[in-house]
Amino acid sequence: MSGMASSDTLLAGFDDFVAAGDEAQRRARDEAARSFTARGLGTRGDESWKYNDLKPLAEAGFRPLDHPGDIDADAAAGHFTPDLDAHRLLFVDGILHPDLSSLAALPEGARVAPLAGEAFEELTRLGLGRRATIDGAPFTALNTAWWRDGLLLELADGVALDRPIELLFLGSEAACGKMACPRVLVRAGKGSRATIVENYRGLGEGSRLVNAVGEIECDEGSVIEHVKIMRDGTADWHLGSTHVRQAAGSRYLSREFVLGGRMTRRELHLDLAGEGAACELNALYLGGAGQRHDLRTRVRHSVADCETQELYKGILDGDARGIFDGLVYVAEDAQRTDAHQTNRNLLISDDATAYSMPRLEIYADDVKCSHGSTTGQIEEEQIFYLRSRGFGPDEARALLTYAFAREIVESLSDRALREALMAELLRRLPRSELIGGTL
Amino acid sequence: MLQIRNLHASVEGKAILKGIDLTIDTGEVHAIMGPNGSGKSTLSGVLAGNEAYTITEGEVLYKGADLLELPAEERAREGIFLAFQYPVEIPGVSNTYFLRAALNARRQHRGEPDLDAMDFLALAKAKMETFELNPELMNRSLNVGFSGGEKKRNEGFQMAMLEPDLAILDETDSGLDIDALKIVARGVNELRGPERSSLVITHYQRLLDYIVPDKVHVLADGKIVKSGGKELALELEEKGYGWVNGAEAQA
Repeated sequence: MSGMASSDTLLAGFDDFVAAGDEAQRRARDEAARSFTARGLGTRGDESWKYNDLKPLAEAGFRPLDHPGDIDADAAAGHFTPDLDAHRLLFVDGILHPDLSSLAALPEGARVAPLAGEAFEELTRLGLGRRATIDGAPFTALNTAWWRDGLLLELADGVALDRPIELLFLGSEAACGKMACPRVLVRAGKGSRATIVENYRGLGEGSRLVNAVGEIECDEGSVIEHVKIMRDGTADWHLGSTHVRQAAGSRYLSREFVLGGRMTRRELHLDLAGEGAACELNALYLGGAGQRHDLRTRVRHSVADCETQELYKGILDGDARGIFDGLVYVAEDAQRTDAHQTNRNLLISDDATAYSMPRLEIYADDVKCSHGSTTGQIEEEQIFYLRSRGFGPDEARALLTYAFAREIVESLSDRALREALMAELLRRLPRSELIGGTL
Repeated sequence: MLQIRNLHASVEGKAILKGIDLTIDTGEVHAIMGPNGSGKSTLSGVLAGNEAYTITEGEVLYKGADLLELPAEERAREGIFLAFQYPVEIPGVSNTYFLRAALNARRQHRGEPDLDAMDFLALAKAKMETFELNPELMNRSLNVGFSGGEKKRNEGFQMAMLEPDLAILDETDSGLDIDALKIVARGVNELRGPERSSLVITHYQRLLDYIVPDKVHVLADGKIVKSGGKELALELEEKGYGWVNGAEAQA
């Protein structure tokens, strides 16, 4: 075994676990476990982890979770987004909690089901493991070896979900020292539409590892808005990747909010595989003392006439570190690609650091592509403009910080979601108590 | 209203203002003209409290009290308003929020109650008509996506809302076409009265056809080299800035 010895705990008990499944499932899990064993976390010398450090994760000795912790039902329900009229599913430590989930009145042609209840063959048919490949991806391999539950969403052609689906992933206190591996599988039929909200939250002070993987197939003309809100606890590790394939004319709208966690690594892999497919990728990450947020996007334009609009924004305070690594790849045949990638970081303290690596790799000759990056403090001329109208300097700074963040929140289509996030920003951003009235 | 005595100011160690003396009485409109680089914008920035400038000598009294010790926001609340030559874009802050907060900061300072949303919007709507601004701009981010003319008219609109005691217009005419210029001038003139004063800073005489000043001063190399009545602007237009520079050399 060539992996780091200290990450061995991540496969503790695997043999007993895997013996329980059916044959095809066992093979898939075994293969993933072997892949992980061969490489371990395998991050030494790996360019994609250059500005991050997994040694503390390896040393923490996380073990796979075997059963979900007990939670207080009322308290758990309070973590759903307030006033969001949604189909709600609660997962505790990655396992569906049926009593606190409501799937009433789904429109005909929409299927929402816990992954745990589905036959592996059926999941494979729907695309499980097709996009989230395990080669060179140790955390995807771990998730593939270990996932116990998650969401299956299947939308028949032309089905539009009337309300968002909110998945609340709660980390219980009993799961401290443990790894949970939730999985999401979405198959959006032609012309279907849905908003999916993944809401991650950690309870208490202990340290957990969330290792989430999502796979989404967007058929022709479908529109999927995918919101991820990471509010993990301050000692939690959150690793997650989402793998999307878009057919012709489909739209995938990603809105990510990284608000908690000791270390968060979010990866987004998109393949724009049908002409006229478009994606919008927005993210907001707030970093405070001791936090690291590492956001990585890989968008492949495989065919002509596709569009990418990407805007990632970070607000970094204390000694937080923000890492943005984005690549838009434009294949030779992807003529008339329209791709724009921007990363902006606002540094609130002198000790905060931002690494920003937007990149384009273009092999087609008729394209409209741009990328840009800015990192800095609030502009003095903006502060002076506000002060010259009677705003105090602290109030001006708070308002400008909030305004910087707000742009991303406003890209959300649902009003209740926007309001919940705005309210959270007002609670979280420095000195935002100085901002009054209705913004 | 305003007394400037022997004012010297520098930016990044470079002296820009080299001894300005100027008195503006209550109810008066003064114009300062001068070529590029003469210190016009520095003077407006110093009066509004921009900390990018260092005062090295002199004093400024506003309503009889030391102005220079007040931070920018207190000057604003005390009734000084600077219409910016280059209004700043602030994405994510709506015009409505910004202006209502600014107005209420001024009202609180005077011990008046906050204006509620309904009254504020009614007032804003009326004043926007004066400046021929589309009411939809109220919901947009401050100055973002505004045309050059809309930005300048928005400065004028803010001024009309905040009703300053001393308005300083920094090259408000630059980049404005004649129609927009007339609109802004009309707004400034509506504000004129026995209780208010204005300082109009401009490179060109044109603006002063519409905002007729009581006094005109010529600024060159950080000093006022000539003062006179409104006819001085016309004379300057005719003879060019070389004339005053020559006059300064002879003095």
